[in-house]
Amino acid sequence: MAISSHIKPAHNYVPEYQQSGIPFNQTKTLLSVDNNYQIDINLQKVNFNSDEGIEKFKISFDRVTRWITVQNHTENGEEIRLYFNKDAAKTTFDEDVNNNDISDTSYYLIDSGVMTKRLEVKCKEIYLVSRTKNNANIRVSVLAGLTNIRSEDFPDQTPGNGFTGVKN
Amino acid sequence: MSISSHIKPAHNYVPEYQQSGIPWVKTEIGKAAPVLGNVLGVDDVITNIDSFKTSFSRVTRWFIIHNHDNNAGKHLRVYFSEESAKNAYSANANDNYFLIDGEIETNRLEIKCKTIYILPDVADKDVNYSLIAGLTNIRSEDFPDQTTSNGFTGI
Repeated sequence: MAISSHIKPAHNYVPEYQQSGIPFNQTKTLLSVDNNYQIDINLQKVNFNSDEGIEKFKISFDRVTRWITVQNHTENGEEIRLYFNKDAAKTTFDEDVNNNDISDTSYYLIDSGVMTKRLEVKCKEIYLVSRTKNNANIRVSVLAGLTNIRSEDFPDQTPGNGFTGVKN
Repeated sequence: MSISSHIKPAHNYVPEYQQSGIPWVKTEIGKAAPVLGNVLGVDDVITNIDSFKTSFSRVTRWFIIHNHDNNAGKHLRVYFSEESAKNAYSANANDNYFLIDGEIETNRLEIKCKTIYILPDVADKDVNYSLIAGLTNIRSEDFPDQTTSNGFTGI
């Protein structure tokens, strides 16, 4: 017997949010970014801000979330950014000629050692990144409660689709 | 496929508050202190209040603010009224704001609104915070302006 019902609820179907979620949990160590803003994928150097690169910092949910929590397990002051949009996340290391941070500000910052509150948002993907390049010790956990709403029935998280607060 | 439905729910339509919100996020690090001036004969009125205003395109179901300052005494003020926010440090100041201590993340504040104003508690300080909100499908233009005369008597 599968956890999901046979019907295909839409993301505005309220009863999906009135029951507890299907558990989703994942703990990962972020990939390190070198001084050329590249990461290693299968012994290949890939730009952090390419589609292939940013994909490694993405958490995908196969069902739409009812809520999520994120925990930053570091103890040395490394902060983690929570983005909801791929293109915004790609800008993490963007700087101007004076090395000032000019990255997209549509993120929620999770301080070292902090676990967020239960964030009651509906989404199908998030991006967890850090401006710290040496990420070898940056571990992060995601715990989510999922609905039965299939991710393919949820719009892509872009401003054009009504997600006006996920990208500058 | 857009996130919003074709119907236009009003702000008292309960199902909008019984589902999870559309994510909305923003972080301000080292945002410069407000600019004060004399406005209509009143000193120390904030003249660039729009840069401290957060406008949501849809009505909020909830929001959380995290004050990232590691000095517990470096508070943030949160206002829901532009008039109150503009006068935060003037002779016409009122006490209709709530205060967030340094390093503190608020609880999930289940409040419906379309604008908030986040200011330093002390006028010449910068601000460092993150804001996350869960939005409804209710359009902001269908929500009343947040003024006392519109029934927002506590702001």
